[in-house]
This record gives sequence, structure tokens and C-alpha cells, in this order.
Amino acid sequence: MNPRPESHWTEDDFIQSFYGLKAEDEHVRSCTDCASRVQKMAAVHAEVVRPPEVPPELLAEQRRRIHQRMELISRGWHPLRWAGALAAMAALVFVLLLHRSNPPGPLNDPFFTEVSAMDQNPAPRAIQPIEALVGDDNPE
Amino acid sequence: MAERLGARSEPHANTREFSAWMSSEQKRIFLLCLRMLQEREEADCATQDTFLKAFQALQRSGNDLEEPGKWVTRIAINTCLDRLRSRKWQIWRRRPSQEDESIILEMAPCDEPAADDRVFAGQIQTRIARALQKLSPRQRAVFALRHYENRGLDEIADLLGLDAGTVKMHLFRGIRKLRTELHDLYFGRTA
Repeated sequence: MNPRPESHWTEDDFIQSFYGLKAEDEHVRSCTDCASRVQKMAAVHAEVVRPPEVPPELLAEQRRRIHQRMELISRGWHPLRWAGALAAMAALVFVLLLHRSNPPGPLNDPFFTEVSAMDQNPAPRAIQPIEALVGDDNPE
Repeated sequence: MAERLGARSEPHANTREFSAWMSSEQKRIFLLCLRMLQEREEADCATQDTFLKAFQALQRSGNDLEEPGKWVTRIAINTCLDRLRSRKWQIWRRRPSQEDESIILEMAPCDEPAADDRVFAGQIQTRIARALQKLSPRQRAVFALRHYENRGLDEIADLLGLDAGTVKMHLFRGIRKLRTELHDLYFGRTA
């Protein structure tokens, strides 16, 4: 019945041909068995890859969310635009908190003690005459 | 489907035109993402990202597009490829969840063929969906465009920005990895 049964295509040949990796040859075109297998493959494939139904509510919800995001873009809002400002603000808050958690030490530092003692000293200050010369009440 | 899509000077008109075009392309793009990613939630996010990228690109360029369908397909493929590549490091998601598998099964064609044919088609679809995990992102993209969308190899090459020889190589390797499932699909019912 088939003139060249020894040259029937293998299943791999059929698959490669079906996906465009192997060209049809004279045998497939003339062999009724192989031609019918090609047709059967096409029918199975059409059945399996027929576009499925997608629930319309899923698509509607998806559109709603896309529109929301589009609106944000149209308004010029973008998360990255605010990321820098937020990072700077977070750094500032961190520094302030750090500063608050380490208050200045008690006033028994030698420098402050010395300044305080000078201020409390009732003795006349040596620099007072000089201050009087450059003060606001100078007639110059 | 709109043959041309462009950015007009009036933003509202532009958004309206974009929304109408998006509605006409949305299902096709969602299905492409679903077939490439095999997870409904991720396909949903990828579809949203695709249209937002398209919207932003149109706002920036201001030029009309001659083939918006092809253009948005390319954006969708690249979005899915990025997601697939990032999955490489996510060892907790080696395969789709049971819920996603059942959703993909439920979304299988449900017209008139005999019940056992439908069950078989659903089973083999699920098996192929699982087996797609074995493919690299590019192999998966090439196989999805060929198997599900029946696109020519030259068209796939154009969409992916590859030459035809590279597309053939990806497809050949992909088919080899899916050999068992494809043999069962076309030549037997050992599912």
C-alpha cells in the first residue's frame, strides 16, 4: 500500500516538523499514513491550545488597577521620586533620636567650672577699660 | 485592534485612546503572560506592568506606533522574561501552587468535545505547564509563542530580537526537554 514504508517518519520527525524545525519531504506528502498523522497532530494541537475563557471580572479588576497606576503616573507621582526625600528625612530623624539619647554631660567639666568661677569673681576685670573704649557709648 | 496608537497633545484624549486599545489587547496579553509564567497572580502583575510600561513609553516618545500589537507583545515578553529570570533565585517556587494548577485546568477549553477528550486535554495541558519549568526563560518564550500562539519562527525571532537560527536552537532544545509530554500529547494517552 505504501510505496516506501521503510522511510516513514519517526515521532520526533513529526514533532520537529510540526514546530517548524523540519521541512516536509516527498515521503510525507505522498504517504497517506504519515499525512494522516500530521492531520491528527494538528487536530490535537488545536484542541489543546484553544484560547481559554478568562473571567471578565478578572479583566475588569485588572483594568481598574492599571487605570489607578496610570493616574498616579499622570499626576507625576512616582515612588522613586519620593524615595530620596524619605531617606533624607529618616536620616534626620535618626540623628535627632541619637542626639536625644546622648544628652550633654553634667556641668562639672573643668572648663565650665573655670568660666563660672571667673563670672562669680567680684574682683575688677582687667579688660574693662578696653571695653569702655570700644563700647557703644563711645562718643566717636 | 487599533492599527495605530499615538500620544496626542491632550492628555485626557490620549488616556481614553490608550484605554480603548488596552481593552482590545488585554486578554491576549494576559494569556501570553499566563502561558509564559504559569501563575495567575504573576501573569496579572506582568500584564499590568506591560501596559504601564507601554503607557509611559507613549507619554515619553509622543510618536505614533505603526504596529502597537507587536510592540506591546514585545514588552510583555520582556516583562515575563525578567520575571522568569528573577525566579531563578527563588527556590521556594520551583513549581506552581496547587491552586494555580487547578485554575489553569479550569481555564482549559470547555466546548463540546467528548468528556474524556476534555479531561485528557486538561491533563496534558497541566503536564506541559509543569514541564515548562524545565525550560530556560528564552526556551520557554520561544516555545510559548510557537506552541500556544502558533507564530512563525521568523516572527518569534523578530519579537525576541534574536536571529532565526538562535530561535531554532532554543525551540529544538525546548522540545527535547518536553519530549515525553509532547509524545504523549500527539501520539498516545499515557498521561
